[in-house]
Amino acid sequence: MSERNRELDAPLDLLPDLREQMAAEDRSWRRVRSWATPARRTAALVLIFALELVVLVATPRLDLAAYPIPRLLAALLVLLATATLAIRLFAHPLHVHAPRIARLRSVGAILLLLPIAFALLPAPHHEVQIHPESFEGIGADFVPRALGCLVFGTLVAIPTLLFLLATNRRPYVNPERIVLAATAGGIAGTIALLLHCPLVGVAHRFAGHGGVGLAAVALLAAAMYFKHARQKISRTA
Amino acid sequence: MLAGSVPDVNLRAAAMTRPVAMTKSATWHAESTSGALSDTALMRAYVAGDQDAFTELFSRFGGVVLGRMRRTVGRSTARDLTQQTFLQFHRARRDFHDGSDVRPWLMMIARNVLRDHLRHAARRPGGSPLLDEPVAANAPPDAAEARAAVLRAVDNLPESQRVVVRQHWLEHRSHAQIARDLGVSRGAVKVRAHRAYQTLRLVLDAQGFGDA
Repeated sequence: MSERNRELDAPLDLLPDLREQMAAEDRSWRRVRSWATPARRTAALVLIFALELVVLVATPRLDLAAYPIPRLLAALLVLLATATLAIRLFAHPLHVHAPRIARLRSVGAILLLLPIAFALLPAPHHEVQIHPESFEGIGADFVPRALGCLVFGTLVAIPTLLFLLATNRRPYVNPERIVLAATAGGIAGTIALLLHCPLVGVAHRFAGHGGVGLAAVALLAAAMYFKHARQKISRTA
Repeated sequence: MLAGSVPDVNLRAAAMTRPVAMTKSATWHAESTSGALSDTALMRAYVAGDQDAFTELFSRFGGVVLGRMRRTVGRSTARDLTQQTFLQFHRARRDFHDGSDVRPWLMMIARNVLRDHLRHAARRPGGSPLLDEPVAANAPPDAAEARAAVLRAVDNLPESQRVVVRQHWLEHRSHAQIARDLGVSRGAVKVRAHRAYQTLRLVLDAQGFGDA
């Protein structure tokens, strides 16, 4: 009977190497991969909450009193719900059927488009007399202010993105899951901007807030490209 | 060894004479004395930190997982995927629901590991992500055949040499990195690589792939 069709003996010679890998993993930061799935998901959400709390306490938006509370709550709720969905799909346990690629793609696309859709909503208030700072960021000031928001949001996105990647158990991370991690981070950055930036202009929000998810994806793609390029150079050297 | 069979006697004896293990997995060892070891009890002991329980689980299910992999991929890749499955098993151990069956739980992990592997391989046309290198689109027609012969020859090398060749030649890792991973000296890695290449040269010459 061929080896392919019979019951095989356990490859016990793999055990020493396997044990070594397990021990090395349990000794390093990679032990987060061995956290139970609910713990990994909860930790990612707690991280997002903690980041937003720091932003809210340290640098709250100056026009918070004028911002319509129902709209603010609805935006937070929708953004957090989508971030939770992304985290749930990314930190998926391996002992159940993996989510379909089409589902990962749709959720990734929703997470990328959602901040853009929010940015295109009309200005939340028009109180130029009480909060003149909300109507800055136009003309020559447009690019620096939009860029500032994009950088701020991306910086807030990075911890979530890195944490999610650190909890990844699978040997191969497919592009859809990478995009999910990046967009979950992007949502964290978008929420931070919602709680921090007082500018209400649609153009500013579109350029500075809407693209945080895209910036996080681009950042991750660039990091991976440079990693591969460095490996290629070290191979040829 | 088949699932549910009695474990290795030496392993059981060693585990039972170890006081630390006794405290970690009282359930397993209590059942050991009666000779009725269940997979679930072993899993419980393993989740509690008993590494001997992992060894026993591996000896029970390692062959089943390897057999599953062998039905789909080559020998060397099947072994890699079996190892990967048990690494995932280790990472996922806290997700195991006490009282569930271990075998279907593990086999689902194996299935997902295999699926991830195949999906990844499909995205790199002409190559397996763990072992193979893609063939260039403009390569001559016999290049694929030569490549297959080389990979077959690598597959048939002794384990200690195969690991070195695979990591150095196909995964482009340095001798120092491999030595560190395997816990041996750099010189030992070089000797293994040298012997492996001698063997490969002989085998491939005999098959008419002297220039491969």
